Amino acid sequence: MRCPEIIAAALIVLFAAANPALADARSAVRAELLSEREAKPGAPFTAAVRLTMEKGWHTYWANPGDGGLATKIEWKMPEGFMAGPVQWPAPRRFGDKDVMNYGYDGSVVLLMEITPPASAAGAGSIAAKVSWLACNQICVPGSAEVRMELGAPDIFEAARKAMPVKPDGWSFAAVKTEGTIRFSIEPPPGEAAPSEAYFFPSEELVLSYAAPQKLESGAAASLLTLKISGAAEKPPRLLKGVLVIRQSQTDWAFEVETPIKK
Amino acid sequence: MKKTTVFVIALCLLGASQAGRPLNAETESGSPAPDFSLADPSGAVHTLSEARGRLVVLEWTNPDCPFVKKHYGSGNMQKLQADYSAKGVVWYTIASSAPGKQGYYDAETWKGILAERGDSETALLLDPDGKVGRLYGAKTTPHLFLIGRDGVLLYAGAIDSNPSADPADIADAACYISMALDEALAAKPVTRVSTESYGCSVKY
Repeated sequence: MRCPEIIAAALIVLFAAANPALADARSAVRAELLSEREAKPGAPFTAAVRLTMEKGWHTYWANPGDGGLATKIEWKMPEGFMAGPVQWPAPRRFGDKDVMNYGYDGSVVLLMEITPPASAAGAGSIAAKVSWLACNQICVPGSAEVRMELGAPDIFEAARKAMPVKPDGWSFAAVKTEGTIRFSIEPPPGEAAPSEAYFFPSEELVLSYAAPQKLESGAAASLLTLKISGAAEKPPRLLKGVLVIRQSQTDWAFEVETPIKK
Repeated sequence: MKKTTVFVIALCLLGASQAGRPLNAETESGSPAPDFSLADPSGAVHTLSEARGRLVVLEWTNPDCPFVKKHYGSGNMQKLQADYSAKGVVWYTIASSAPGKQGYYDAETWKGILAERGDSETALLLDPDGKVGRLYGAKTTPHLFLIGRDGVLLYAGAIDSNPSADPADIADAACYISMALDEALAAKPVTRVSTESYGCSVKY
């Protein structure tokens, strides 16, 4: 190495040492771009972005909650290739009574459908720039340029299991009262009521993220009280997002799209 | 005389406790902005009520947060502070990081940061126990609030429309706080009263 490069390297090491957060963040998130199978002309296939996070760090869901930034994917694909929207697994909560965020820790796999054109030549050149915000006690934005590689089938299988499902047999209803939405949750006939529930709104400016959500069991249905955001300009009309419940020791994540009645 | 004194003291205490709202309250646009009293790094105390009759901006900050660095590193925040202070707006920058958490600095260190950063706000206010942050429901750094001359909250939310940590995203963003300020300065109603703020979470 020549002198300037040695100095530059030494400065980087010194800077990183003085900023342990920066040094940590270099390895805090690792991104991979995976395909479920080889691309064939005109045949859609599933791709995945897998983020692996160092212990203590998390990245964000489509709606990050109070602050934070959703992971973003910018595709670099040959002519004619199309990528569908990100399919987000059910999120987790990070935060407390003051500030609440929605996201993932450990590892998260974001799925999306890719459609090659009818006359696709070599799909080996699919790449993407993945950008995220990783936080523990501090936040560090990061990004990686990743090239697509074939991924193991069990990665895709596990990712599909982590997705919210349609609430088959469950009945949801939402009613707006003063400052809150009363979300009623009725299990399929004969099934037990949920012992725990939390609703993650996918839209901004609907609910307060840090407010607790009280769950009350009733005769037929359970009632989850959701606090409307103080920043909501108009009363919300639609409850859209993910409902996570625990029922008889099993956790479920349901897609919710319920109109809110007055 | 004694009875009146006790009564007045009781009233003051009652008033003080009412000015303090429950934790996790969100001050909503259109409602009276709660009064507060905080010291700046030189020890001078500033209150919201002393600014009555002027427009007031509250800007939550954490010098180490990438989103705050976006707006300060680019000079965007300092310019907003200078431009609007020149128009008579009171601009309070508030630090609500708790001791031991990112963004917490003692008064002496803050003096250095302000000089280095080239801040132009009316005052940097120290809120290490997070009382005022929680009073307003400040969630992120930055988080911006605009209070009208009559003490009513006119705007609460993001500084601008591009939620990112990239300074390149400032130029083409709609600057929500300056739009609200321009409307209020022209005595027009603020059209966009609230947005979701973006940034690092406030380190209470």
